[in-house]
Order: sequence, then structure tokens, then C-alpha cells
Amino acid sequence: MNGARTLYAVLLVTIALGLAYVIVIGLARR
Amino acid sequence: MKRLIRDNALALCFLLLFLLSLAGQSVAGAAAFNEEQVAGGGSPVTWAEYVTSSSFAVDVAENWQSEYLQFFLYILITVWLVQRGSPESKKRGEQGLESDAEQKVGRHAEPGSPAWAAADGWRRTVFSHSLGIVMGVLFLLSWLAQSVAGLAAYNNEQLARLEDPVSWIGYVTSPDFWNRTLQNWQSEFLAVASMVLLAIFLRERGSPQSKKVGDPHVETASTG
Repeated sequence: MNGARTLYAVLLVTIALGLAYVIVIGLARR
Repeated sequence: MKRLIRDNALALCFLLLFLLSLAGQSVAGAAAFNEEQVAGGGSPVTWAEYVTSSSFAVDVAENWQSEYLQFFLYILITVWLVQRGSPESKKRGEQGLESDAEQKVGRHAEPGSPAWAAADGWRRTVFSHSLGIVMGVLFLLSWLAQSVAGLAAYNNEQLARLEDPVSWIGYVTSPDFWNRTLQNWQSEFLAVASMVLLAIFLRERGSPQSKKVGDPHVETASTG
């Protein structure tokens, strides 16, 4: 299950970074 | 390493497809953006400028929100509504949250059950709904991200047309925001209805998303 746990963490971090990226770009009015 | 890949092949496959598609979207999106720029008398942008633009960001976010909405609603609505004959549905009479024994929670938890399934109070409640909660939160955050990036992209276009920029409230009540939102929602809901209904009468041998090839059409809640 360790591999799945790692992927679970990778997925959540990817989504969080993706959302943060979109919001930062929006707030920066690029 | 080999075992790690084999045990997680499904997730790895879709994560890889996600990255490839996102890369493809960035290239095709930049080309499309530049076609419009040139047609409008503007100057083309580089790929790096495009992927850091609100135009790219809003396109990504509007699709994310609709996917998380789809899963959020599907997870929640299938608790309460059934579709006779669908492998995606529970059987009639099983609607609702089910008993603690059926759900293996509290004193019915088994040795291998997650700790919060055995716990009492708020921890069990939160864990009992954690999948729906996370999908719902991801939907709301993606939709918020879409609105923020969409506002910036929309205002860039407004300025290019020498028109006044709008506020966030002005944007989330604008046709642009709802056009982007609803064009994604309609396709998700059609796809879910298609899956629910097609899987009653059609089969895909070996797929857990399908009934077994020989299962009767009326059989509900079975997987191949």
C-alpha cells in the first residue's frame, strides 16, 4: 500500500499546486 | 520497482495521460490563442507566456471543476437513488446510509478497518463522508479558481476592446462565466446518464465497470 499512499499524496499535492497556480495567475491579472 | 508499477498501473496510467493531455492542451491552446491574436492585429505570445496566462489557466480550471462536480454528485446521489439493472447502482431497498453493521463502523469495525471507522463522534462522521467531502471541496476550489482566472482573462479581452473591466461579482454573473461552466456540466451529466443506462444493456468483458457478459439485463449492482 506504500506505493498507493505515495501516489495519493502526489495526486493531492498536484491538484493543490494546480489550483494555487490558476488562482495566483488570476489574481496577478496576467 | 516492477511490482510498484504493476500494483499501481491504473493510477499511473491515468496520471500519465493527464500530464500528456495537459502538455498537448498547452501547445494547441497557445497555437489557437496566437491565431486569434494575429487575426485581431495583436502580436503572438511564446509558449511560456501562454501557460502563465489567465487564458490557459481558466481553460484548465473550468474542466477540472466539472469533473469534480460529476464525481461529487455521482458519489452522493447513488447513496439515495437507484437504477434497476445498472452495475453502477445499489439494489432497490438499499438506499440510504445503511446500518453500522453493514458499513463496519463503531463496534462493528474489523481488525483491518481504518482507525476512524472504529472511532466515535466527529471522526467517524468525517471519515464516513470523506470521499464526498474531498470531491466537493475540490469542485468548489476549482470553480473558484475558474472564476478568478476567468475574470482576469475576461478583463484582458475587455481592455483589448477598449471596454471597462468588470468586478468579480460582475464576472460570476456574466454570460462568459456561465457559458464556460454550463458547457462543461452538460457534457458530464450526459456522460453519467449514458454510463448508468448503457451499462444495463451493454457489456465490456473483464471490466469491473460492467456486468458480467452473461448477467441478465435486470441484474443490479453486480460487476464483471
